Amino acid sequence: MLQCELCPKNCLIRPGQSGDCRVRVNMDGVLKTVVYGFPSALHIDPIEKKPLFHFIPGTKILSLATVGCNLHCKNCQNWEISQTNPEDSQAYFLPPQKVVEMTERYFCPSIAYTYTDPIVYYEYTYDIAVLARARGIRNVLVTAGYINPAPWKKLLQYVDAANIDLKGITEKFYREVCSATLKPILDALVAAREHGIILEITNLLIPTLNDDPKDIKDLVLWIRNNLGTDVPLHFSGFHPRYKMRHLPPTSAQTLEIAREIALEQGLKHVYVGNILIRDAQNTLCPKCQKVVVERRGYTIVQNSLKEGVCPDCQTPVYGVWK
Amino acid sequence: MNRRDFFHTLAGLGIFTAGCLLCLLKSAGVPVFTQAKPHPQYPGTIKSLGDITEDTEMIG
Repeated sequence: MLQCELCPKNCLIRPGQSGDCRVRVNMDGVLKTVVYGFPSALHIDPIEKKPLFHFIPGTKILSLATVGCNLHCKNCQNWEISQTNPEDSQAYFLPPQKVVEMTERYFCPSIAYTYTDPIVYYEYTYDIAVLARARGIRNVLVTAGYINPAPWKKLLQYVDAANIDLKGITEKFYREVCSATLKPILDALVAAREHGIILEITNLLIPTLNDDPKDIKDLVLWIRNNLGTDVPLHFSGFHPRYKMRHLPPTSAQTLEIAREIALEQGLKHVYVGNILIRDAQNTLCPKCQKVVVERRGYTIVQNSLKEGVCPDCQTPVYGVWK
Repeated sequence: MNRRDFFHTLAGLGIFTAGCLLCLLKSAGVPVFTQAKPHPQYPGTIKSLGDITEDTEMIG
């Protein structure tokens, strides 16, 4: 038996068995990752899709994922790869060096470790990130942030930006919907902010489970009090998937209410995703409220920022803009 | 505390202590890993790489 201490599940793994993530295996007393170099998903996406709105907007990002996840969200939108066993899946053979070469070949300025959760393919993410950084390519994590402090701190050294899901603000939600716990995620968010990477947060609103205005306000207040008002927050619409096909999609009205709550509490950059709501994807100058980046879907219609500052009042806007 | 409560408390403490000891014994000598070593073979099927396109199905 051995123990994997990568994530807060701290799985005790018997010989021949995997941890809860399905991809970290006890092979003869040695912990092995069976997905290292074997991504199952590989695409070039607009960076706005991650979603990242405050990090090199309008660029393409090489996006990859292996199978497996350390969470088991009943609403998972990518469950076909996150909740499957490696032996039941298909993957490309792509060692870290090849990923970096491919990123350069397709003229992508950044790589996203995304779709499932880069925490479970930690070593692969880390090794690519080190090589990419050396070649001037930026690294982006899209993660639930369910990781122990030491490996998180080590990985953050090579991360430029992250979108971290804050799926809810109650322990009950994380335990019952995601099979995880809340505290390590809050700690990971604070650590990411303290480390100085560009941080954005996504909160997917699921009808009846985490869309109560009180919960939304609690979540917003936690962000405001622990991360500050600059950090962008994306309220995302739920679509019935996986084990939650019985719930309806999130209404536009719920998303608009959530956005209003966040703006009322002082958050400067609040967006709505997975649904088109007029003006809810634009970035405003936090001081004069001028639209400085206008978006429609994943497309930048207009970006009037000059060196990251508002062209009218010269106020800096949080982010890395080129 | 009456005699019955005393024995209930004693039994409870005994069970708790036994649980702690079992847990300690179980974890004693268990090697701990944060880093995993790459395994050279994929347990599933390797697919061939074509042109990389934008994803239209997955989220994030």
